[in-house]
Amino acid sequence: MALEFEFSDEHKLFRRTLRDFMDEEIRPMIDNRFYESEEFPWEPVRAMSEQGLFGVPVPPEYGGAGLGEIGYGILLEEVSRVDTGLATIVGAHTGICLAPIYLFGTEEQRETYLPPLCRGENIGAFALTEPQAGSDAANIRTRAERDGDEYVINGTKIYVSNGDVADTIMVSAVTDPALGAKGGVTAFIVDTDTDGFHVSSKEDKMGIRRSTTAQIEFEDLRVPAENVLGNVGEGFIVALTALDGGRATLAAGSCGGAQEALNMALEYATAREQFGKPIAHHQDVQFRLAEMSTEITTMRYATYHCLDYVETYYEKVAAGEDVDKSFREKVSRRSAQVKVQASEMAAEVTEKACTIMGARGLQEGYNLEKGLRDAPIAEIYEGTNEIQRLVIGRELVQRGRYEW
Amino acid sequence: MVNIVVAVKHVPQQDNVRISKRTGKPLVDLAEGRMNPLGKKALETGLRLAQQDPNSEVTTLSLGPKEAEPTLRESLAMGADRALLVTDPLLEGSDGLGTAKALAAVVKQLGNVDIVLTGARTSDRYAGHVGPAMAAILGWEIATHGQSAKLTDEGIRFEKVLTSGTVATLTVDTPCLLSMGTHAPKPRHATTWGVHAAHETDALERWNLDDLGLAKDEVGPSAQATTQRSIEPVPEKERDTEAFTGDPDDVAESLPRRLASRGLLR
Repeated sequence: MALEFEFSDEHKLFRRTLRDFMDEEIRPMIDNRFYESEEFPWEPVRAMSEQGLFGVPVPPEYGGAGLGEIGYGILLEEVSRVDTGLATIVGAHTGICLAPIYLFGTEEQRETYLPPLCRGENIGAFALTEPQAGSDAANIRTRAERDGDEYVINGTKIYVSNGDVADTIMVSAVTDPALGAKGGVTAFIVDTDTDGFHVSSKEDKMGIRRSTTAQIEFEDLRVPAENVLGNVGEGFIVALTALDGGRATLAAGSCGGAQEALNMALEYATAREQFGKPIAHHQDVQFRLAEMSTEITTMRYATYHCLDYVETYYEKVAAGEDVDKSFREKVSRRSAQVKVQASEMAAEVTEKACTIMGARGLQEGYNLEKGLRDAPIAEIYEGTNEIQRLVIGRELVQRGRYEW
Repeated sequence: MVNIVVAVKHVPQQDNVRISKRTGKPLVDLAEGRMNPLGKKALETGLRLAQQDPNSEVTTLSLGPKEAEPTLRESLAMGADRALLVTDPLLEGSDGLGTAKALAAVVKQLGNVDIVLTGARTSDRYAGHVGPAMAAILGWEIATHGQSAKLTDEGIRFEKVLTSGTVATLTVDTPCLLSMGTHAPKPRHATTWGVHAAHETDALERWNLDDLGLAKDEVGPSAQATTQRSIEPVPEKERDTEAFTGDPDDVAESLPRRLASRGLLR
């Protein structure tokens, strides 16, 4: 084959054991309990952390599983098959808290923070969004002022996944208001047991209810200067580099959610008879199923191909090597593209599944209804699809020609 | 210190064997294979025995082509200390006896083995004679179709479920061979850390016929003790459902008679 594209034996075994684990151990725990109360689901989270699912991409010397970004994509795909909320918990923990600490952390920061996070003993979160700064992330106002060997942080962060339970939070704060986004924002590793940290409220959401979303406050919270992640003033580089990889793995999650919806629709269409035969044998339904399957297949190719690039990119960043600008742009563009496409594909596939299942698709207790409520979040978080389009479009127009 | 060897076979993913129309032989697709399910239960039993004694070592052993590697790596990922793959073109085409000879030879070469565990049968061949043949060659005690095994001061406490549904408890002296059946505990899931460690390049040990101390004519097709005449699909069992209607008490009372008249009760 000229264009070899296959998972390694290691990733194949990982997927197989992970799928069995999720189906046999976690799926039975997916009941209405956490979904109705929107409480943090410690029971499945504990089981998953013991299984080694909370440090998948990080190398073993820091307590991780060493399965890289492709392994992390497989993780989100397989967890999303069972529950998008659980995938969000692992994603917020791994992709945007653990990953930036690994990528930009000093040796000491890595050794202090990564092992307990990888074991899942500590839960991670990422705090960027503020009431006035969503898509306009450069407009953040959380302030970090230097005071001797410490920084004093004040401000409010919203929509923090895992924010109510997290032990370690990656926080973006303004260190120099005059410079703004270009050199005035710094990333901090914040321990939530520090004085001045408060969880002010929890969101009541329509979907991904097994993942908790909190508003958090910093009130004269003091962090030592050694908790600066990366260089002072380079907070956006830290956040954006983490999001570049996070987006591609989200796309893998969307592929998992879509597969679940397709399988549900397929099972229903094979069992349900109308006009004397299973509806799966009616051409209209069969065409729909064919379209769903085709969309998932093409998306999986693009997603894992992109993750292969992200892996190379991250290996360079973690080793402190210079990354070629055009390579970084390519990774960033492709991860934005697969995120947009996969999240919209998953929403579409879930809707098609609902059409096939008719009223059953909307009925509580059949998991498709939950899928319909869970699907839209992927179009919103880690940079809305509109912002992704803006970034992809702006670069395209600047370049003046299509670039693969 | 307890030295445990678990024999695991890499078998096709599907239990339904397809037969080639051209050759009349079963089509074996090992590329998408898996660990023999009962072998996996034997490994789980071995790992549990090892937990009873911190000094014990669990070695998994497989006879097969290079395609069998994933099964041995999975055994390491689940917690085995060593994994040994015996591959040799001369071993291909061995029957159950040849396989047992080769596996027993490995056990002898390893030396100081206390317990050999196997699945009661493989999902692809379903013969169930490799384990007993190994025990015979080694001259060891054997207990088959177990549901659990525990180390005790008197020996191995071995439980098995009899066809009557009752549980028989045996005490077996070491060295011994134990085969595990369907009632053995559900195998653990390999952890993510284990999966990665099992794929280190030097994680597997590879042996060939020269390492076994066996003569070339003791194994392979020429040394077969059994001949396979043919392989044919078995017709599916006929099933029938009958509903008895009427007053529940009357139906219950008539049930033994009705079952007996159909030869289902004696």
